Amino acid sequence: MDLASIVFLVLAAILVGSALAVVTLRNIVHAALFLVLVFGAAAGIYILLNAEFIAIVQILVYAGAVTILILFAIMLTQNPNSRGSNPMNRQALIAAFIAAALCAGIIFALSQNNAISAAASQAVTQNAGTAVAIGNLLYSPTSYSYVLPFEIATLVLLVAIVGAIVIGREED
Amino acid sequence: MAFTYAISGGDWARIAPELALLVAALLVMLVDALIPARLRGALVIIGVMGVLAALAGVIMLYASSGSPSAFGGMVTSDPLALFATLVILAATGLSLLLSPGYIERQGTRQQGEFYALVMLAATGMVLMAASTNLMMIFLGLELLSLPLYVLCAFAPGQQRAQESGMKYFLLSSFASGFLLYGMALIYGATGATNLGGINHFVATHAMSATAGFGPILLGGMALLAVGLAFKVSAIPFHAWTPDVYQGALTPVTALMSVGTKMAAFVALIRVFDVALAPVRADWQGIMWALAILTMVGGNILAATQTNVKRLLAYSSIAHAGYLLIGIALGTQAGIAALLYYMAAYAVMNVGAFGVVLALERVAGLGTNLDDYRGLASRRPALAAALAVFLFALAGIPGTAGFVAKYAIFAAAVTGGHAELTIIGVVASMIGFYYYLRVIWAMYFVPAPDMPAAEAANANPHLSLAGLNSAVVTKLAASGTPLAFSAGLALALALIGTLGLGIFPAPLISLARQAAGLP
Repeated sequence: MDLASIVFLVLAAILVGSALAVVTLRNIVHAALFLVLVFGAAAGIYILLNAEFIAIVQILVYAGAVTILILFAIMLTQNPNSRGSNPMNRQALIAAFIAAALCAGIIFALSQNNAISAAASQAVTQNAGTAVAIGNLLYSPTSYSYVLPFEIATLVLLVAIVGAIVIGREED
Repeated sequence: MAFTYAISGGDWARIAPELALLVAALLVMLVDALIPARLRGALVIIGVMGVLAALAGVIMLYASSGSPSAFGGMVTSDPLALFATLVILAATGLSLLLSPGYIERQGTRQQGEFYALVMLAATGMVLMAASTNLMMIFLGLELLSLPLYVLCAFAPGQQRAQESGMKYFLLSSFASGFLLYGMALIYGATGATNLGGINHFVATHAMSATAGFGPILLGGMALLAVGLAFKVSAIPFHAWTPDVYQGALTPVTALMSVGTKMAAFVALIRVFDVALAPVRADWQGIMWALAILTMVGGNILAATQTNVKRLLAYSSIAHAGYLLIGIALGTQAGIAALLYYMAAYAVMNVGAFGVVLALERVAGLGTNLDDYRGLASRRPALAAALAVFLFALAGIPGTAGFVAKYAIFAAAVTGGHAELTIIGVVASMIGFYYYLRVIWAMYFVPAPDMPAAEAANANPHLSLAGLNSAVVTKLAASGTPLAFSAGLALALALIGTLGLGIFPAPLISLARQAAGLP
C-alpha cells in the first residue's frame, strides 16, 4: 500500500466519522464544528485528486465562510441553551435505506469498469496543477474565453447583496 | 507567462443591449443614494432611458455586419437573440411605466432598489437569450432569477408577497439544480459546453440509447428539459405559477410572465431545436407531451379561477403550451411562429396585467372577479382596454393573438403534427370561456352595492368623518386615478395588440429572419 492510499484512508475515516458526528450530536454548535472537519477532509481528498484549486476553494468557501455563516445563524436565532438543539426526526430508517441504495448504486456503477471512469481517472492523472490551467482559462484566453461568465458571476453577487439588503432592512 | 488578451472592443459592442440595461441599473442605485427620498419616484426615468438605449443597441446590431458571435462563442447577437431582446425590452419598458404610483400605493419605500432589480433581471433575461454556451445560459438564468425572487417578496408586510418570494425561491432553486445537473451530464457526454461543440459532437457520433455516451446524453437532456420547462411553467412543472404570480407586485408579474418565458424559450430553441437537432427523435416526444399537457391542463385549470391575477397566471401556463408546439415541431417555421407568438403575447399579457394593476388596491384587494362586476359603467376606458387584451389572449381575429395562434397552428399542420393543431384549437375553445367570463362580468353584471365600511377599508386614504357613505362608496368604487405613465403603457400595449393584429407582416418577416428563414 502506497502513501497516497494510506493518506486517503485516514482522510476518508475522518470524513465519514465527522459526518456521522454532524448528524448524531445533540448540540448543534458541536455539529457545526464537526462540519468544518468534514469540509477539511474533503479538501484533503481533492488534493489527492490533483485538484488543488478546488481544495483551496473548498477550505476558503466552505470551511471558512459557510461554517461561519452557519454559526452566526445559530447564534442569532437559537436560545442560549444549546443542549438538544440539533433537530432530530424519526426518519432515520428511511434515510438509512436511501443511503444504502445510493451506496449500492455507486458501487455497482464503479464495478462496471466502463470507459467513463477510465477516462475520468486518466483526466485526473493528466491534468495536474489545475490552478494554473484555471487561471489561464479565466483571464488570458486565446480561443475559449471565460471572461464574460466571470464578469456575470460578479453581477449575480451584486444582485445577492442588494437583495439581502432589501429583504433584511426594517421598513421605517 | 505571456498573457494574450483576445477580448476586443467589438466583443463588448456585441452585448450593447445588456450593457445599456446594466449601466442603467447601476445608475439607478447610484442616483438613489444621492437624491432625497421624495424624488425617488423619478428613478423610473433612468430605467426607461436604459431600455431605450438598449433598443438603440439592438437597432445598431441589426444594422451591423460581421460574425455575430462574441467572447469566444459565449454569446451571440444573431437575429434570434435580437428578436428576443426586442420582446424582453418591450416587456421591461411597459412594466417600468406601469410601476410609478402603483408601487407607492403598495407602501414600498425602497423604490431605488425596486427599479435597479428590475433592470438587473432584464439584463439577465437578455443575456440568457443571447447565450450560446451552457454555462452562460445558466448564469443568465441565475441573473434573471435572483432579482425576481427579491422582487416577488417586495411588498412590505404583505404575507402573500412573502409567500410568493419564498415559494419561487425554493422551487426555482430546485429547478436550477435540475438544469445544472442536466448541463453537467450533457458536458460529460459530449465534452463541450458551447452549443456549437455539442451540435458538432452529436452530429458526428452515432447515438445509442444503451451504450457509450448515449445514456448520459439522454439523462442530461431529460434534466435540462425539466429545468427549462419549470421556467416556462409547463405542466407538470407549473404548480408554483399561480401563487407566485398572485402574490408578487403586478408589474413584476407582468415582467416575469413575458421576460422569463422569452429567455427560457430561446434557450429551449438553441439547445433542443438547434444544438441537439441531430437527436431530435429522442427529445421530440417529451416536448410533444409537454405541449399537449400544458395547453389542455392550463386552460381547464384557468376556467375554475375566481381571482383575475390567478386566472391570468393559469392563462400564461396555457399560452406556454401553445408556444411549446413551436419547440416540439423542431422546424424553422415552428420557431418563427413561436417568436411571433411571444411578441404578441408580450403586448397583450402585459396590457392585461396593466389593467389589473390599475384596479388593484393595497395587498391584492380588488383583483377578484367580483370586483370587476359593472366595471364598464365605472371605468369605461379601462374596461374596454381589458376587453381588447382578453379578446387578444383568447385569439379573436383583428388582434395580435389571432395572428399568433394562426401562425403556430399552421406551422403545426405543415410540420406534420395536425394532432397538435386539433388539440390546440379545442384547448383555445375552453380558453374562450374564462376570458369571456371576465368580459361578461365587466359589461353585463351590475356593480355590487358596496357597504360604506368596506369601501373605506378599500381606500385607506379616505376618512369617514364628514363624508356620507354614498360619497365614500362612489370614490372607492371608481378607485385610484390612473398615473400618466401607466396610461401611456396601456396605450402602447393597446396599439401593439391591435397593430400586430392588423399589420402583422413586418414583425412576421423579422421573426422568420430570426428563425433562419428567408
